[in-house]
Amino acid sequence: MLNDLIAAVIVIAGLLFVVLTMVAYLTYLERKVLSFMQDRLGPMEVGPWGLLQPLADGIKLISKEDIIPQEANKVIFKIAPVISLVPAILSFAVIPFGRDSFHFGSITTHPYLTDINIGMIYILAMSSIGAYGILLGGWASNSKYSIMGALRSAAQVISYELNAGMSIIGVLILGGSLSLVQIEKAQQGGFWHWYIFPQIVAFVIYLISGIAETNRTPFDLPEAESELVAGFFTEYSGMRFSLYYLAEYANMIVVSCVATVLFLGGWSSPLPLLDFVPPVIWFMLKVYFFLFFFFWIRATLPRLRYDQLMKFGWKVMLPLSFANVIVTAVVVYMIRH
Amino acid sequence: MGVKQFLNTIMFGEIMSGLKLTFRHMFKKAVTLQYPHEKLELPDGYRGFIVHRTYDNGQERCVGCDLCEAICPAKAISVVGDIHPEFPERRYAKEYTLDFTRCIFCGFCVVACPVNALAMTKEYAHSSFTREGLIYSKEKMLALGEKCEKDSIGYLKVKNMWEAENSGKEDGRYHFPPIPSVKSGG
Repeated sequence: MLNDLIAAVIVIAGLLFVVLTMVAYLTYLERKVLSFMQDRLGPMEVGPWGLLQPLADGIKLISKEDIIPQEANKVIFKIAPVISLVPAILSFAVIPFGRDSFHFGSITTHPYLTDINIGMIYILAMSSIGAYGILLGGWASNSKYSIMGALRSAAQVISYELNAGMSIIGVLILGGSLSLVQIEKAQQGGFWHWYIFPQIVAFVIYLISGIAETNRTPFDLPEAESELVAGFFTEYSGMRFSLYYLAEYANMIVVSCVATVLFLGGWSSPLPLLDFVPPVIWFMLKVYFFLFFFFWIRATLPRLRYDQLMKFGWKVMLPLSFANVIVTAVVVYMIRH
Repeated sequence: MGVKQFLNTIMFGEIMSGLKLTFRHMFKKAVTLQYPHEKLELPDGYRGFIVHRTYDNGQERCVGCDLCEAICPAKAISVVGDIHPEFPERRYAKEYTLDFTRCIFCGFCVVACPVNALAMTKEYAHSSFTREGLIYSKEKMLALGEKCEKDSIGYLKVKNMWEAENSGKEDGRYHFPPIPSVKSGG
Protein backbone atom coordinates (compact mmCIF):
# COMPACT_ATOMS: atom_id res chain seq x y z
CA MET A 1 0.00 0.00 0.00
CA LEU A 2 2.70 2.45 1.01
CA ASN A 3 4.84 1.30 -1.90
CA ASP A 4 1.99 1.98 -4.30
CA LEU A 5 1.61 5.44 -2.83
CA ILE A 6 5.32 6.20 -3.24
CA ALA A 7 5.25 4.89 -6.80
CA ALA A 8 2.24 7.09 -7.57
CA VAL A 9 3.97 10.15 -6.13
CA ILE A 10 7.07 9.44 -8.23
CA VAL A 11 4.98 9.13 -11.41
CA ILE A 12 2.96 12.25 -10.57
CA ALA A 13 6.10 14.28 -9.96
CA GLY A 14 7.68 13.01 -13.16
CA LEU A 15 4.54 13.64 -15.20
CA LEU A 16 4.09 17.14 -13.84
CA PHE A 17 7.72 17.99 -14.50
CA VAL A 18 7.68 16.63 -18.05
CA VAL A 19 4.30 18.09 -18.93
CA LEU A 20 4.99 21.56 -17.57
CA THR A 21 8.42 21.69 -19.19
CA MET A 22 6.91 20.51 -22.45
CA VAL A 23 4.20 23.15 -22.21
CA ALA A 24 6.79 25.87 -21.63
CA TYR A 25 8.90 24.75 -24.53
CA LEU A 26 5.89 24.26 -26.79
CA THR A 27 5.48 28.02 -26.80
CA TYR A 28 9.08 28.28 -27.98
CA LEU A 29 8.62 25.52 -30.54
CA GLU A 30 5.44 27.12 -31.86
CA ARG A 31 7.11 30.49 -32.28
CA LYS A 32 10.05 28.89 -34.02
CA VAL A 33 7.96 26.75 -36.37
CA LEU A 34 5.69 29.65 -37.25
CA SER A 35 8.70 31.88 -37.83
CA PHE A 36 10.44 29.43 -40.11
CA MET A 37 7.26 28.97 -42.10
CA GLN A 38 7.05 32.74 -42.50
CA ASP A 39 10.75 33.06 -43.47
CA ARG A 40 11.63 34.61 -40.12
CA LEU A 41 13.95 33.52 -37.33
CA GLY A 42 11.72 33.75 -34.26
CA PRO A 43 13.11 34.30 -30.75
CA MET A 44 16.91 34.63 -30.95
CA GLU A 45 17.98 36.92 -28.12
CA VAL A 46 17.63 35.04 -24.83
CA GLY A 47 20.23 32.30 -24.73
CA PRO A 48 21.63 30.52 -27.79
CA TRP A 49 18.98 30.50 -30.49
CA GLY A 50 16.58 31.98 -27.94
CA LEU A 51 16.45 28.71 -26.02
CA LEU A 52 15.88 30.44 -22.68
CA GLN A 53 12.93 32.44 -24.00
CA PRO A 54 10.27 30.38 -22.13
CA LEU A 55 12.15 31.04 -18.89
CA ALA A 56 12.25 34.77 -19.56
CA ASP A 57 8.55 34.74 -20.48
CA GLY A 58 7.77 32.91 -17.25
CA ILE A 59 9.68 35.39 -15.12
CA LYS A 60 8.00 38.26 -16.92
CA LEU A 61 4.49 36.85 -16.45
CA ILE A 62 5.02 36.03 -12.77
CA SER A 63 6.38 39.46 -11.96
CA LYS A 64 3.55 41.29 -13.75
CA GLU A 65 0.76 43.03 -11.92
CA ASP A 66 -2.34 40.92 -11.44
CA ILE A 67 -5.15 43.24 -12.52
CA ILE A 68 -8.71 42.41 -11.52
CA PRO A 69 -11.40 44.60 -13.06
CA GLN A 70 -13.52 46.53 -10.60
CA GLU A 71 -16.80 45.23 -11.99
CA ALA A 72 -15.63 41.63 -12.20
CA ASN A 73 -17.01 38.82 -10.08
CA LYS A 74 -13.84 38.50 -8.04
CA VAL A 75 -14.15 34.95 -6.72
CA ILE A 76 -15.02 33.36 -10.04
CA PHE A 77 -12.54 35.59 -11.84
CA LYS A 78 -9.76 34.26 -9.64
CA ILE A 79 -10.84 30.62 -9.80
CA ALA A 80 -11.63 30.35 -13.53
CA PRO A 81 -8.06 29.98 -14.86
CA VAL A 82 -7.44 27.23 -12.33
CA ILE A 83 -10.60 25.42 -13.45
CA SER A 84 -9.23 25.65 -16.95
CA LEU A 85 -5.74 24.36 -16.18
CA VAL A 86 -6.31 21.63 -13.59
CA PRO A 87 -8.50 19.33 -15.74
CA ALA A 88 -6.05 19.72 -18.61
CA ILE A 89 -3.26 18.39 -16.42
CA LEU A 90 -5.49 15.78 -14.76
CA SER A 91 -6.09 14.21 -18.18
CA PHE A 92 -2.50 13.01 -18.25
CA ALA A 93 -3.29 10.58 -15.44
CA VAL A 94 -4.67 7.90 -17.76
CA ILE A 95 -2.35 8.31 -20.74
CA PRO A 96 0.12 5.42 -21.10
CA PHE A 97 3.35 6.80 -22.48
CA GLY A 98 5.57 3.72 -22.43
CA ARG A 99 5.72 -0.04 -22.16
CA ASP A 100 8.11 -0.90 -19.37
CA SER A 101 7.51 -0.73 -15.67
CA PHE A 102 10.44 0.22 -13.47
CA HIS A 103 11.35 -1.43 -10.21
CA PHE A 104 13.09 0.36 -7.37
CA GLY A 105 13.41 -2.38 -4.77
CA SER A 106 9.84 -3.19 -3.83
CA ILE A 107 8.42 -0.09 -5.51
CA THR A 108 7.01 -0.56 -9.02
CA THR A 109 6.24 2.43 -11.19
CA HIS A 110 4.07 2.01 -14.28
CA PRO A 111 4.41 4.15 -17.40
CA TYR A 112 0.99 5.60 -16.58
CA LEU A 113 -0.43 7.01 -13.40
CA THR A 114 -3.57 4.88 -13.37
CA ASP A 115 -5.26 2.46 -15.73
CA ILE A 116 -8.94 2.99 -15.03
CA ASN A 117 -11.32 1.04 -17.24
CA ILE A 118 -13.15 4.19 -18.39
CA GLY A 119 -10.01 6.07 -19.40
CA MET A 120 -11.43 7.52 -22.58
CA ILE A 121 -14.60 8.80 -20.92
CA TYR A 122 -12.45 10.30 -18.17
CA ILE A 123 -10.47 12.30 -20.74
CA LEU A 124 -13.64 13.51 -22.46
CA ALA A 125 -15.06 14.53 -19.08
CA MET A 126 -11.92 16.45 -18.18
CA SER A 127 -11.87 18.35 -21.45
CA SER A 128 -15.54 19.28 -20.86
CA ILE A 129 -14.73 20.63 -17.41
CA GLY A 130 -11.93 22.69 -18.96
CA ALA A 131 -14.54 24.49 -21.03
CA TYR A 132 -16.11 25.70 -17.78
CA GLY A 133 -12.93 27.58 -16.99
CA ILE A 134 -13.24 29.47 -20.26
CA LEU A 135 -16.97 30.06 -19.83
CA LEU A 136 -16.72 31.24 -16.22
CA GLY A 137 -13.66 33.37 -16.90
CA GLY A 138 -15.42 35.11 -19.77
CA TRP A 139 -18.55 35.68 -17.74
CA ALA A 140 -16.81 36.84 -14.57
CA SER A 141 -14.68 39.39 -16.43
CA ASN A 142 -17.85 41.46 -17.01
CA SER A 143 -16.63 42.62 -20.39
CA LYS A 144 -18.20 42.48 -23.86
CA TYR A 145 -15.28 40.82 -25.53
CA SER A 146 -14.88 38.25 -22.80
CA ILE A 147 -18.50 37.19 -22.80
CA MET A 148 -18.52 36.97 -26.60
CA GLY A 149 -15.46 34.77 -26.52
CA ALA A 150 -16.92 32.62 -23.76
CA LEU A 151 -20.21 32.16 -25.60
CA ARG A 152 -18.43 31.20 -28.78
CA SER A 153 -16.26 28.80 -26.85
CA ALA A 154 -19.26 27.14 -25.23
CA ALA A 155 -21.03 26.69 -28.56
CA GLN A 156 -17.88 25.44 -30.19
CA VAL A 157 -17.02 22.93 -27.49
CA ILE A 158 -20.56 21.51 -27.53
CA SER A 159 -20.51 21.17 -31.31
CA TYR A 160 -17.10 19.65 -31.64
CA GLU A 161 -16.89 17.52 -28.53
CA LEU A 162 -19.86 15.63 -29.91
CA ASN A 163 -17.89 14.88 -33.06
CA ALA A 164 -14.79 13.92 -31.13
CA GLY A 165 -16.80 11.58 -28.93
CA MET A 166 -18.56 9.98 -31.88
CA SER A 167 -15.32 9.52 -33.83
CA ILE A 168 -13.72 7.78 -30.88
CA ILE A 169 -16.51 5.19 -30.70
CA GLY A 170 -15.22 3.51 -33.86
CA VAL A 171 -11.86 2.93 -32.20
CA LEU A 172 -13.52 1.73 -29.02
CA ILE A 173 -15.48 -0.86 -31.02
CA LEU A 174 -12.29 -2.13 -32.63
CA GLY A 175 -10.26 -2.08 -29.42
CA GLY A 176 -13.05 -3.50 -27.31
CA SER A 177 -12.18 -1.37 -24.31
CA LEU A 178 -12.36 2.15 -22.92
CA SER A 179 -9.01 1.80 -21.21
CA LEU A 180 -6.24 3.53 -23.12
CA VAL A 181 -3.76 0.87 -22.04
CA GLN A 182 -5.91 -1.88 -23.55
CA ILE A 183 -6.47 0.05 -26.77
CA GLU A 184 -2.72 0.56 -27.08
CA LYS A 185 -2.02 -3.12 -26.50
CA ALA A 186 -4.50 -4.09 -29.22
CA GLN A 187 -2.42 -2.19 -31.81
CA GLN A 188 0.94 -3.90 -31.26
CA GLY A 189 3.09 -5.49 -33.94
CA GLY A 190 3.66 -3.11 -36.80
CA PHE A 191 2.00 -0.09 -38.34
CA TRP A 192 -0.59 -2.18 -40.25
CA HIS A 193 -2.25 -2.92 -36.91
CA TRP A 194 -2.77 0.76 -36.16
CA TYR A 195 -6.36 1.97 -36.12
CA ILE A 196 -5.61 4.90 -38.39
CA PHE A 197 -6.16 2.66 -41.44
CA PRO A 198 -9.57 1.13 -40.64
CA GLN A 199 -10.62 4.37 -38.94
CA ILE A 200 -9.23 6.99 -41.31
CA VAL A 201 -12.51 8.93 -41.32
CA ALA A 202 -12.63 8.92 -37.53
CA PHE A 203 -8.99 9.98 -37.44
CA VAL A 204 -9.61 13.03 -39.61
CA ILE A 205 -12.74 13.95 -37.65
CA TYR A 206 -10.95 13.55 -34.34
CA LEU A 207 -8.04 15.68 -35.49
CA ILE A 208 -10.31 18.48 -36.70
CA SER A 209 -12.39 18.31 -33.52
CA GLY A 210 -9.21 18.31 -31.46
CA ILE A 211 -8.04 21.49 -33.08
CA ALA A 212 -11.47 23.02 -32.48
CA GLU A 213 -11.59 21.89 -28.85
CA THR A 214 -8.23 23.41 -28.03
CA ASN A 215 -9.30 26.70 -29.66
CA ARG A 216 -6.48 26.63 -32.17
CA THR A 217 -6.46 28.30 -35.57
CA PRO A 218 -8.51 27.90 -37.79
CA PHE A 219 -11.03 27.38 -34.98
CA ASP A 220 -9.75 30.07 -32.64
CA LEU A 221 -12.99 32.06 -32.61
CA PRO A 222 -13.16 32.23 -28.79
CA GLU A 223 -9.91 34.20 -28.73
CA ALA A 224 -10.05 35.76 -32.19
CA GLU A 225 -7.64 38.63 -31.72
CA SER A 226 -8.77 40.54 -34.77
CA GLU A 227 -12.37 40.62 -33.57
CA LEU A 228 -12.42 40.12 -29.80
CA VAL A 229 -9.08 41.52 -28.59
CA ALA A 230 -8.23 38.24 -26.84
CA GLY A 231 -11.66 36.70 -26.39
CA PHE A 232 -12.38 35.16 -23.02
CA PHE A 233 -9.09 36.22 -21.40
CA THR A 234 -9.17 39.84 -22.50
CA GLU A 235 -9.28 41.10 -18.91
CA TYR A 236 -6.69 38.71 -17.55
CA SER A 237 -3.10 39.67 -16.92
CA GLY A 238 0.05 38.32 -15.37
CA MET A 239 0.00 34.86 -13.88
CA ARG A 240 -3.71 34.21 -14.46
CA PHE A 241 -3.29 34.99 -18.13
CA SER A 242 -0.43 32.55 -18.31
CA LEU A 243 -2.56 29.88 -16.61
CA TYR A 244 -4.98 30.07 -19.54
CA TYR A 245 -2.05 29.80 -21.89
CA LEU A 246 -0.69 26.79 -20.04
CA ALA A 247 -4.14 25.21 -20.19
CA GLU A 248 -4.33 25.71 -23.94
CA TYR A 249 -0.96 24.10 -24.53
CA ALA A 250 -1.60 21.31 -22.03
CA ASN A 251 -4.85 20.57 -23.86
CA MET A 252 -2.94 20.44 -27.11
CA ILE A 253 -0.62 17.83 -25.64
CA VAL A 254 -3.59 15.84 -24.32
CA VAL A 255 -5.27 15.84 -27.72
CA SER A 256 -2.01 14.80 -29.38
CA CYS A 257 -1.46 12.03 -26.83
CA VAL A 258 -5.00 10.70 -27.27
CA ALA A 259 -4.70 10.80 -31.05
CA THR A 260 -1.41 8.94 -30.74
CA VAL A 261 -2.84 6.29 -28.47
CA LEU A 262 -6.09 5.78 -30.35
CA PHE A 263 -4.92 5.95 -33.94
CA LEU A 264 -1.13 5.55 -34.14
CA GLY A 265 -0.64 2.68 -31.71
CA GLY A 266 0.79 4.72 -28.85
CA TRP A 267 4.30 3.61 -27.97
CA SER A 268 4.43 0.72 -30.44
CA SER A 269 7.09 0.88 -33.13
CA PRO A 270 5.91 1.02 -36.75
CA LEU A 271 7.98 -2.04 -37.77
CA PRO A 272 8.85 -5.02 -35.54
CA LEU A 273 12.54 -4.70 -36.44
CA LEU A 274 12.59 -1.17 -34.97
CA ASP A 275 11.68 -2.54 -31.53
CA PHE A 276 15.13 -1.72 -30.12
CA VAL A 277 14.16 1.97 -29.97
CA PRO A 278 12.66 2.67 -26.51
CA PRO A 279 8.84 2.85 -26.62
CA VAL A 280 8.86 6.25 -24.93
CA ILE A 281 10.79 7.66 -27.90
CA TRP A 282 8.19 6.38 -30.34
CA PHE A 283 5.44 7.85 -28.23
CA MET A 284 7.12 11.25 -28.06
CA LEU A 285 7.85 11.21 -31.79
CA LYS A 286 4.19 10.62 -32.59
CA VAL A 287 2.99 13.22 -30.10
CA TYR A 288 5.40 15.79 -31.49
CA PHE A 289 4.22 14.98 -34.99
CA PHE A 290 0.71 15.99 -33.98
CA LEU A 291 1.93 19.08 -32.15
CA PHE A 292 3.90 20.07 -35.21
CA PHE A 293 0.77 19.50 -37.26
CA PHE A 294 -1.12 21.93 -35.01
CA PHE A 295 1.50 24.62 -35.63
CA TRP A 296 1.60 23.78 -39.32
CA ILE A 297 -2.16 24.21 -39.64
CA ARG A 298 -1.93 27.49 -37.75
CA ALA A 299 0.69 28.78 -40.15
CA THR A 300 -1.43 27.80 -43.14
CA LEU A 301 -5.12 28.41 -42.61
CA PRO A 302 -7.10 31.55 -41.82
CA ARG A 303 -9.88 31.60 -39.24
CA LEU A 304 -13.29 30.19 -40.12
CA ARG A 305 -16.37 32.37 -40.11
CA TYR A 306 -18.69 31.55 -37.24
CA ASP A 307 -21.57 30.22 -39.35
CA GLN A 308 -19.13 28.16 -41.42
CA LEU A 309 -17.79 26.65 -38.23
CA MET A 310 -21.26 25.65 -37.05
CA LYS A 311 -22.32 24.41 -40.47
CA PHE A 312 -19.18 22.33 -40.82
CA GLY A 313 -19.55 20.85 -37.35
CA TRP A 314 -23.22 19.93 -37.46
CA LYS A 315 -23.92 19.29 -41.13
CA VAL A 316 -20.70 17.65 -42.28
CA MET A 317 -18.73 16.20 -39.39
CA LEU A 318 -21.58 14.89 -37.26
CA PRO A 319 -23.32 12.85 -40.04
CA LEU A 320 -19.92 11.54 -41.12
CA SER A 321 -19.00 10.42 -37.62
CA PHE A 322 -22.42 8.75 -37.17
CA ALA A 323 -21.96 6.95 -40.48
CA ASN A 324 -18.49 5.89 -39.37
CA VAL A 325 -19.84 4.41 -36.14
CA ILE A 326 -22.58 2.48 -37.94
CA VAL A 327 -20.29 1.14 -40.67
CA THR A 328 -17.64 0.12 -38.15
CA ALA A 329 -20.19 -1.61 -35.93
CA VAL A 330 -21.72 -3.55 -38.84
CA VAL A 331 -18.36 -4.62 -40.25
CA VAL A 332 -16.99 -5.68 -36.87
CA TYR A 333 -20.18 -7.63 -36.15
CA MET A 334 -20.01 -9.41 -39.53
CA ILE A 335 -16.34 -10.33 -39.05
CA ARG A 336 -16.80 -11.67 -35.54
CA HIS A 337 -19.86 -13.77 -36.39
CA MET B 1 -20.11 18.42 -58.53
CA GLY B 2 -17.83 16.27 -60.68
CA VAL B 3 -16.04 13.19 -59.41
CA LYS B 4 -12.68 14.94 -59.52
CA GLN B 5 -13.95 17.87 -57.52
CA PHE B 6 -15.61 15.56 -55.03
CA LEU B 7 -12.35 13.65 -54.54
CA ASN B 8 -10.51 16.93 -54.17
CA THR B 9 -12.93 18.00 -51.44
CA ILE B 10 -12.78 14.83 -49.36
CA MET B 11 -8.97 14.68 -49.69
CA PHE B 12 -8.73 18.32 -48.53
CA GLY B 13 -6.97 19.20 -51.80
CA GLU B 14 -6.84 22.93 -51.23
CA ILE B 15 -5.69 22.65 -47.64
CA MET B 16 -3.03 20.15 -48.69
CA SER B 17 -1.60 22.51 -51.29
CA GLY B 18 -1.52 25.23 -48.62
CA LEU B 19 0.25 22.92 -46.19
CA LYS B 20 2.75 22.02 -48.89
CA LEU B 21 3.54 25.67 -49.45
CA THR B 22 4.10 26.47 -45.78
CA PHE B 23 6.22 23.35 -45.36
CA ARG B 24 8.43 24.34 -48.28
CA HIS B 25 8.94 27.74 -46.73
CA MET B 26 10.29 26.14 -43.55
CA PHE B 27 13.51 25.33 -45.40
CA LYS B 28 13.96 28.70 -47.04
CA LYS B 29 16.51 31.10 -45.67
CA ALA B 30 15.01 33.62 -43.28
CA VAL B 31 15.07 37.22 -44.43
CA THR B 32 15.49 38.51 -40.89
CA LEU B 33 18.34 40.88 -40.12
CA GLN B 34 19.49 40.53 -36.50
CA TYR B 35 19.54 44.29 -36.23
CA PRO B 36 21.74 45.32 -33.32
CA HIS B 37 24.17 42.49 -34.09
CA GLU B 38 24.26 42.80 -37.85
CA LYS B 39 23.51 45.93 -39.80
CA LEU B 40 22.42 46.58 -43.33
CA GLU B 41 25.04 47.71 -45.84
CA LEU B 42 23.68 51.15 -46.69
CA PRO B 43 24.05 52.66 -50.16
CA ASP B 44 26.02 55.89 -50.55
CA GLY B 45 22.85 57.75 -51.51
CA TYR B 46 21.21 56.87 -48.17
CA ARG B 47 19.41 59.88 -46.78
CA GLY B 48 20.23 59.80 -43.09
CA PHE B 49 20.91 62.62 -40.66
CA ILE B 50 21.97 65.92 -42.24
CA VAL B 51 25.32 67.38 -41.21
CA HIS B 52 27.29 70.58 -41.68
CA ARG B 53 30.57 70.31 -43.55
CA THR B 54 33.81 72.22 -43.23
CA TYR B 55 36.62 73.05 -45.60
CA ASP B 56 39.83 71.10 -45.32
CA ASN B 57 41.30 73.79 -43.10
CA GLY B 58 38.46 73.37 -40.61
CA GLN B 59 36.57 76.52 -41.63
CA GLU B 60 32.83 76.00 -41.77
CA ARG B 61 31.25 76.25 -45.21
CA CYS B 62 27.80 77.61 -44.41
CA VAL B 63 27.31 81.17 -45.59
CA GLY B 64 23.90 81.64 -44.03
CA CYS B 65 22.12 82.17 -47.34
CA ASP B 66 18.74 80.81 -46.16
CA LEU B 67 18.21 78.73 -49.31
CA CYS B 68 17.83 75.52 -47.33
CA GLU B 69 15.27 77.17 -45.10
CA ALA B 70 13.40 78.37 -48.16
CA ILE B 71 13.26 74.98 -49.87
CA CYS B 72 12.59 72.85 -46.81
CA PRO B 73 9.09 71.40 -47.37
CA ALA B 74 8.71 70.51 -43.69
CA LYS B 75 9.89 73.88 -42.44
CA ALA B 76 12.40 72.10 -40.25
CA ILE B 77 15.30 74.50 -40.82
CA SER B 78 15.67 77.98 -39.46
CA VAL B 79 18.69 80.08 -40.31
CA VAL B 80 19.70 83.44 -38.93
CA GLY B 81 22.36 84.85 -41.23
CA ASP B 82 24.75 87.61 -40.25
CA ILE B 83 27.98 89.28 -41.30
CA HIS B 84 30.98 87.35 -40.11
CA PRO B 85 32.43 89.20 -37.09
CA GLU B 86 36.01 88.71 -38.29
CA PHE B 87 35.64 88.89 -42.07
CA PRO B 88 33.29 91.69 -43.04
CA GLU B 89 33.29 90.47 -46.68
CA ARG B 90 31.76 87.19 -45.63
CA ARG B 91 28.41 86.06 -44.22
CA TYR B 92 27.79 83.16 -41.91
CA ALA B 93 24.92 81.53 -40.05
CA LYS B 94 24.71 83.08 -36.61
CA GLU B 95 22.11 80.55 -35.63
CA TYR B 96 21.28 77.41 -37.50
CA THR B 97 18.67 74.98 -36.18
CA LEU B 98 17.49 71.79 -37.82
CA ASP B 99 14.51 70.18 -36.14
CA PHE B 100 14.87 66.44 -36.82
CA THR B 101 11.44 65.79 -35.34
CA ARG B 102 10.05 67.61 -38.37
CA CYS B 103 12.67 66.71 -40.98
CA ILE B 104 11.34 64.35 -43.66
CA PHE B 105 14.83 63.50 -44.96
CA CYS B 106 14.01 64.52 -48.52
CA GLY B 107 17.48 65.89 -49.23
CA PHE B 108 16.26 69.14 -50.84
CA CYS B 109 18.40 71.30 -48.54
CA VAL B 110 21.54 69.50 -49.67
CA VAL B 111 20.64 70.13 -53.31
CA ALA B 112 19.82 73.75 -52.59
CA CYS B 113 23.03 74.53 -50.77
CA PRO B 114 25.33 76.53 -53.09
CA VAL B 115 28.49 75.85 -51.10
CA ASN B 116 28.01 72.15 -50.33
CA ALA B 117 27.84 72.98 -46.67
CA LEU B 118 25.18 70.35 -46.08
CA ALA B 119 25.33 66.63 -46.77
CA MET B 120 23.41 63.57 -45.72
CA THR B 121 25.01 60.67 -43.91
CA LYS B 122 24.26 57.05 -43.13
CA GLU B 123 23.47 57.90 -39.53
CA TYR B 124 19.94 56.96 -38.56
CA ALA B 125 20.01 55.61 -35.02
CA HIS B 126 19.87 58.95 -33.24
CA SER B 127 17.02 58.83 -30.82
CA SER B 128 16.33 60.95 -27.82
CA PHE B 129 14.11 60.93 -24.76
CA THR B 130 13.29 64.60 -25.19
CA ARG B 131 12.12 66.69 -28.08
CA GLU B 132 15.04 69.06 -27.55
CA GLY B 133 17.45 66.21 -28.07
CA LEU B 134 16.44 66.01 -31.70
CA ILE B 135 16.59 69.73 -32.44
CA TYR B 136 20.15 70.08 -33.69
CA SER B 137 22.17 73.27 -33.51
CA LYS B 138 24.95 74.12 -35.94
CA GLU B 139 27.60 72.98 -33.47
CA LYS B 140 25.95 69.61 -33.08
CA MET B 141 25.67 69.18 -36.84
CA LEU B 142 29.29 70.19 -37.32
CA ALA B 143 30.40 67.62 -34.77
CA LEU B 144 28.33 64.93 -36.46
CA GLY B 145 29.75 66.03 -39.81
CA GLU B 146 33.27 65.57 -38.53
CA LYS B 147 32.38 62.10 -37.37
CA CYS B 148 30.77 61.04 -40.65
CA GLU B 149 32.92 62.89 -43.15
CA LYS B 150 33.29 59.80 -45.34
CA ASP B 151 29.55 59.31 -45.52
CA SER B 152 28.87 62.89 -46.46
CA ILE B 153 31.53 62.90 -49.21
CA GLY B 154 30.07 59.64 -50.53
CA TYR B 155 26.62 61.16 -50.60
CA LEU B 156 27.76 64.22 -52.52
CA LYS B 157 29.65 62.04 -54.99
CA VAL B 158 26.60 59.91 -55.68
CA LYS B 159 24.46 62.99 -56.14
CA ASN B 160 26.98 64.45 -58.68
CA MET B 161 27.75 67.40 -56.44
CA TRP B 162 31.35 66.48 -55.72
CA GLU B 163 32.94 66.85 -59.15
CA ALA B 164 31.50 70.33 -59.60
CA GLU B 165 33.14 71.43 -56.41
CA ASN B 166 36.50 69.82 -57.07
CA SER B 167 36.75 70.20 -60.83
CA GLY B 168 39.09 73.15 -60.47
CA LYS B 169 37.04 75.15 -62.93
CA GLU B 170 36.28 78.65 -61.77
CA ASP B 171 32.83 78.61 -63.36
CA GLY B 172 31.63 75.52 -61.52
CA ARG B 173 28.43 76.21 -59.73
CA TYR B 174 29.68 74.67 -56.56
CA HIS B 175 33.19 76.04 -56.70
CA PHE B 176 33.48 78.22 -53.65
CA PRO B 177 37.02 78.04 -52.34
CA PRO B 178 37.60 78.88 -48.69
CA ILE B 179 38.76 82.34 -47.71
CA PRO B 180 42.58 82.13 -47.55
CA SER B 181 43.08 84.15 -44.38
CA VAL B 182 42.00 81.90 -41.55
CA LYS B 183 42.00 83.06 -38.00
CA SER B 184 38.96 81.48 -36.40
CA GLY B 185 37.27 78.17 -37.06
CA GLY B 186 38.93 74.81 -36.74
